[in-house]
Amino acid sequence: MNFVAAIQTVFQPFTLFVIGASAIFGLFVGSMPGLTATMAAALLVPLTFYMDPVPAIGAIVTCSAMSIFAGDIPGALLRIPGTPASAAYVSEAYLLGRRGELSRVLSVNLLASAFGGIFGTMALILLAPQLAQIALRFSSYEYFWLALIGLSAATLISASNPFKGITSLFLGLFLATVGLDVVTGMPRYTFGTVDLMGGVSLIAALIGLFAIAELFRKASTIHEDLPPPEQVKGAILLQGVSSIMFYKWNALRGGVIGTILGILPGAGADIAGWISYAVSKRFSKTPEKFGTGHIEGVVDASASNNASLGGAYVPALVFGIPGDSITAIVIGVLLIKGMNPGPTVFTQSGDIVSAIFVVFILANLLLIPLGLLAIKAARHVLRINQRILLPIILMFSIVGAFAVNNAVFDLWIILALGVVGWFMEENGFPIAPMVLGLVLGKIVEESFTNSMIKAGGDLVAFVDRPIAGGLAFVFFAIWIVPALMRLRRAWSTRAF
Amino acid sequence: MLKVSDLASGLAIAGLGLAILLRARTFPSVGASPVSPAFYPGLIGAVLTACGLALVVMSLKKKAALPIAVIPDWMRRPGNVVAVLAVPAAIIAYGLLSPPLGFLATSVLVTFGLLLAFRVNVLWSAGVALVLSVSLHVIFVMLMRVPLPYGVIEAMLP
Repeated sequence: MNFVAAIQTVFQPFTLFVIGASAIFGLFVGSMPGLTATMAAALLVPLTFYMDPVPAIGAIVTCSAMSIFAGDIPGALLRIPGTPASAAYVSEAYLLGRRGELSRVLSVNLLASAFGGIFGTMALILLAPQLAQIALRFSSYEYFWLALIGLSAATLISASNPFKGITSLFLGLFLATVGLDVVTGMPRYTFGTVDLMGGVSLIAALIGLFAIAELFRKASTIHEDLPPPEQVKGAILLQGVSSIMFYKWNALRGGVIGTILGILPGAGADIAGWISYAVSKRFSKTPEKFGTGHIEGVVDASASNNASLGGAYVPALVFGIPGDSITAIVIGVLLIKGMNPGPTVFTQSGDIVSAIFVVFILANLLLIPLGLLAIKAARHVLRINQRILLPIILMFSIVGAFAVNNAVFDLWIILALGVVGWFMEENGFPIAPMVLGLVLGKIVEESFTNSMIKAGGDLVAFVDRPIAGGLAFVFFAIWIVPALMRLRRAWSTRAF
Repeated sequence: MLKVSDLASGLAIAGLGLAILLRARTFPSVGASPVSPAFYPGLIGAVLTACGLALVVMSLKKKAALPIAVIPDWMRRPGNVVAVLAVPAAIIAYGLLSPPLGFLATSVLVTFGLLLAFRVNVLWSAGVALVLSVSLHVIFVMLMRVPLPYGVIEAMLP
């Protein structure tokens, strides 16, 4: 991989401008309670539509790294997580802040986030090209099973009720079937409208599900004003260094857990934060201190949620299967740019992949100076009137969704899916599987149809090749093992 | 948003699944391909129907006297109802007005109305509407060269 050329690609004035602007945007959205990192990425998509691949992906990478960190800021200041990824440790951080250690906890958040981000990036740089070598030997059979495994993992991880997760996934798969059938070219579920022949616009769907649904929810709680935040005092950065050094193994563990959860399809920064915090408590020498304002779990979880971002790009770039909802958006952007995420990206667009790696490193290094500015500005940012901010975000979503295809029809899509997304979230149906289904739906159907045509309708061909057979085994195990475990539990409780 | 019982949402999902399945059965199959275009959507419809029914069964098994739907808190506060309704109203207004009026006029009108619905005072609403619309025009049209709907005000610009 040619990193000198990659650095030259990234250090272009326009690309650097895009990275800087999306960093500030990400920090802003992340520190606003209720606005998520995924929403920030979705809002960027219409802008990236008109950019080259490197600044386009660079914008999303930088923006998400910044907003996952910035989510920690209102957590420590107000006990309100800025993004769901910070939710696991807000009370811990807030209690520390109330004890006069606000600067220390924010410094730990920042340093651990940057460390976790770089750890995840290193894992991505080392793992992805190796895995791509293996993936190059995959045929449509392997892709079929891989897509099914990714979709299954996403569904099972994200929902408390598996049927709700499956429903969400299949709603997404259904939306992907709308439009002309890939093989025969016959229109399906278009209701005779020309606008649906090309399918449901992915950008409009993302803006609807992530931005409009979020805006509905915020509009329904607009009367709740935020309390005034505390003031951060003194030199911030150095105050956390000793804590990070003391808990260096926690930071490393957070990085490892976050990266692994990022790689797993469906689990992203949110789940990484929760699991790392729980693991930290479980293995702590002083678990009784957790929940009383103890920094240990904060180190683990702050590193973990940022590490997951890099991890999520491993399956996204290597197999075209997103590791979290942000990479689902990235895959959508790559597809729109005519790039097919998958192992061939490394051979055909190797320069772009290297440039993405460079952006990752740059974004995590920029996190420290820009993050410090965000901490200092937080008091003012959190005073911004939500009644003015929400209409601005809504207008931006509308104009962005409309501008991509210049189609009024796309506005009806963002509205419909905004309502659907809001309804689903309020009723315990996770959104992430639906987005994965929408992004991967065509790949699943195409790889299945191609495989069937190649095999002349013989299903045995799907498990004939060793890797395909192994993947098929994993797929069935994912579904059967949890069901068996549940049955066994039901049995043992009945026995008593 | 309304919180409805799993019984109600399960029935709705099963209904949708069935509709997808029945529609798929009307797709003509093509002789040469071993997979008809109806197979995959038919499968999706079948799984959705099964999931919907599973939710219904689970909800009936719980036997908890859950109401079919709960009126959420925000519906009792007129300010929030107006704010929530303003979101679809703004999208629809932009969709209907921007082709005839052009971006700038539509954006100023829609943003102004939206801010008023969010209970921002008239002066602020007008100011923000103007500044936002001009900024969006500068970002999309002048910096990124993305065409936005052309209309009355754009025609007056140099």
